[in-house]
Amino acid sequence: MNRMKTVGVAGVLVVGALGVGVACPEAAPDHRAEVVANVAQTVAVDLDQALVNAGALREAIGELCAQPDPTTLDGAQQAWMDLRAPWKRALALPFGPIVDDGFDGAIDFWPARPTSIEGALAGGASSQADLDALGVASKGMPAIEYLLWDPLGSDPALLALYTAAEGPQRCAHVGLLAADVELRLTELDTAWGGFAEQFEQAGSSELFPTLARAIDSLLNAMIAGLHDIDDPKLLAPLGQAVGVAQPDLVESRFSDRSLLDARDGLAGFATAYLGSESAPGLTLVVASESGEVDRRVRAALAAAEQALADVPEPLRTAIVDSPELVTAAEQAVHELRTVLTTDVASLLGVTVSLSDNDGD
Amino acid sequence: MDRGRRVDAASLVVLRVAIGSLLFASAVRFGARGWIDELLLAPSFHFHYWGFAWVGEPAPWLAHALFVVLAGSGLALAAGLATRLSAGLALLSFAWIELIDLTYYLNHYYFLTCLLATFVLVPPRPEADGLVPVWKLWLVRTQVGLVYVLAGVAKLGSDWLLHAQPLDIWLARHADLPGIGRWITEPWLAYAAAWTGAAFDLLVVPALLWPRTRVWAYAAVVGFHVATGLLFPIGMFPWFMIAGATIFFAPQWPRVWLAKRSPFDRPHPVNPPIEALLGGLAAALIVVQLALPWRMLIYPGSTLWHEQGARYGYRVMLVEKAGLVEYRVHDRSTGRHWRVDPADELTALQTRMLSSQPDMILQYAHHLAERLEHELPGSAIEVRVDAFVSLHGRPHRRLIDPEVDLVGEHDGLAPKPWILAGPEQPPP
Repeated sequence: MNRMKTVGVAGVLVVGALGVGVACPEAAPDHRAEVVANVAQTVAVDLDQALVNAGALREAIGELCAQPDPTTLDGAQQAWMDLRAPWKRALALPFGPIVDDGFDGAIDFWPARPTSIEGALAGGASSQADLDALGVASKGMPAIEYLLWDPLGSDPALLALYTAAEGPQRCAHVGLLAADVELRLTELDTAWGGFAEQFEQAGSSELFPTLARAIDSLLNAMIAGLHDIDDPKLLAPLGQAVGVAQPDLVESRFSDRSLLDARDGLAGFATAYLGSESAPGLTLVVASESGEVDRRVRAALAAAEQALADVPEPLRTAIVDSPELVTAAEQAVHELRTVLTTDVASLLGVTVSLSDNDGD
Repeated sequence: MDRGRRVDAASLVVLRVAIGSLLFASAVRFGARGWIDELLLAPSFHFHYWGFAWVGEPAPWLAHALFVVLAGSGLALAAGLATRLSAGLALLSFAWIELIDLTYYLNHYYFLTCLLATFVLVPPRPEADGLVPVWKLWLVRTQVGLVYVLAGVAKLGSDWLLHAQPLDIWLARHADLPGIGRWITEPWLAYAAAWTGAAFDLLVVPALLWPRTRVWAYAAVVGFHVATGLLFPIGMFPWFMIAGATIFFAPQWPRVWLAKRSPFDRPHPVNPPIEALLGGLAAALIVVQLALPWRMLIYPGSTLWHEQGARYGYRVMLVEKAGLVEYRVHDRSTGRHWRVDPADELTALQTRMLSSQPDMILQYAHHLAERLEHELPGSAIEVRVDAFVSLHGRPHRRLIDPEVDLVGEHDGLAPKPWILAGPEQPPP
């Protein structure tokens, strides 16, 4: 009797196990290591390109200073524009040394503060040591932008400043600022190399002892990057809190590259999420867990890209003339951020409701 | 049970030594990791427990002193020095620390608070004859055992049993573990773990009490808690439970290596009528703990979603939610509207805990209104919220009615009508 009971129980267990096995879907393959390596490489490519473009900017400013004329000014302005694209794409993932070592602020503190920039110019900084003593509001890309575009007049008025008696000092200062940006990008490039090595070796590296930790960092960085677009770039200049538009809070307001900055940021996000055919991004991990959530992200991304494209140039006038379109763009980016923060984070367990200082 | 029967106090003594030592280790660990400053002193705003708003943030010296008292009383408890007093000091300092900020609520903190209260009422030490009445042992056993049983009951839901959530999500995070990683993402494993976990919680107490299954049951306790401790960041909880489970062994089990009247025993004369009265209070505490989880039945909808009645229920490791909360402020005096990101003021951990817990969302709305009305004299602030939450990978939904001015709402035990219904579809 006992033997029959044992056989019966064993039979039930086997049938139950088989039933569970048959009923359950197959395990999703783990693509996380591949995605982490691809994203680290993507950021490295953008930072490398930014470094090259920073060198080009320094040279273009040298040419402007050697012969201030509309052609060399255009060359310097274009070089500044060219530097923004890879930098803004890299900044779409504000993590690692980009934020931990303060490179984001050192290279790109905005909105620009003309009084700080003019103060540094009048102070006659003449060496890297002098620049190092200045606050981030006095230097970086926004300060160079301010000095390469005339906030009030036109290019001829600006050129007059470079050919006037104080022109050489102005030139030397903007040259110094460009060299400083190049130096910071060189340092960042090196720092990123060390970070990327740890990131790519997630699962066995000191910074990322598990792949889950690397994915957490990546997703949180993507969310932070989107926040940097929808909140300070679009919402703050609308001036809802004070009831009137705030043009002084617009990024790149002197060059009117504001919307392109935002689109480059979104492009950086898109590259991290979608990747390419040969080097897929986070989509690979999300889609393997839930095709529905992946489709939701892609739809929200497409909507955000379209909404940003719908905002008329430049942003500093759009916030006054077409606030509804700026609001729509802000809400579209915000919706993308919401999908990442809720659906994707929950799907991947990124905000696991336990932390090292708790324990349920 | 013959209530007059007297039994060896050795298992109570060992439990006391273990819990006291772990309290000491927890206090030292908390301080060594910088959490006193980071979690208790650095935040500019603290979420208070309902009914305990009067517990403010302590001065820095007091915060550190509380941990010194906790560590010292933990050691004294372990050593059996003035057991009732040391348990009382440990309870006071531990509860005070716990009440500073709701953000850090944990089931095992609640359990420890109740266990220490039980130790105050029923000190885990032998009476003058080296023995204790058996009811004292059973009170402590019940206090420890109810954690498992209530945790097991809480697992009897569809997400846990039918969809293996949130275990499926959590286990997938460990797919890179050497050796077992390739198995850990197998869906059947999540189901097996979910059902095994529920069965473990529901059956482990009787299995530990029954001598024929005790060894295997304790091996399961150790294996279960070590495994969860390795897989999930649950701090000291596994160690407290591994120690706590020994109370289900035979009362004299430590006597193999613990001499009668050892330095740890410290027999103490008692006044039986007073002991009985205090024992009654300990029993009442247990009844309260057993009753509190069922209050969730008065709140319609899934407790996983709205979290009303979730605390003090030993609902251990049951939910994985991710949320995004932003407040919309309206100043009636100027007609202006603007958005406030709570992360601008709160710490990352506070923001994360707030993002899916309605009572914390409400509490911060009240704080925001007060703060803004102070900063903007003459203003009349209304606060609404956009709160989106995804539960176990489901598409996100609004958690809170966006039309409700939360300034006019009050926290309490009644169901909160401004919490919207949760998702009805199963997890993906």
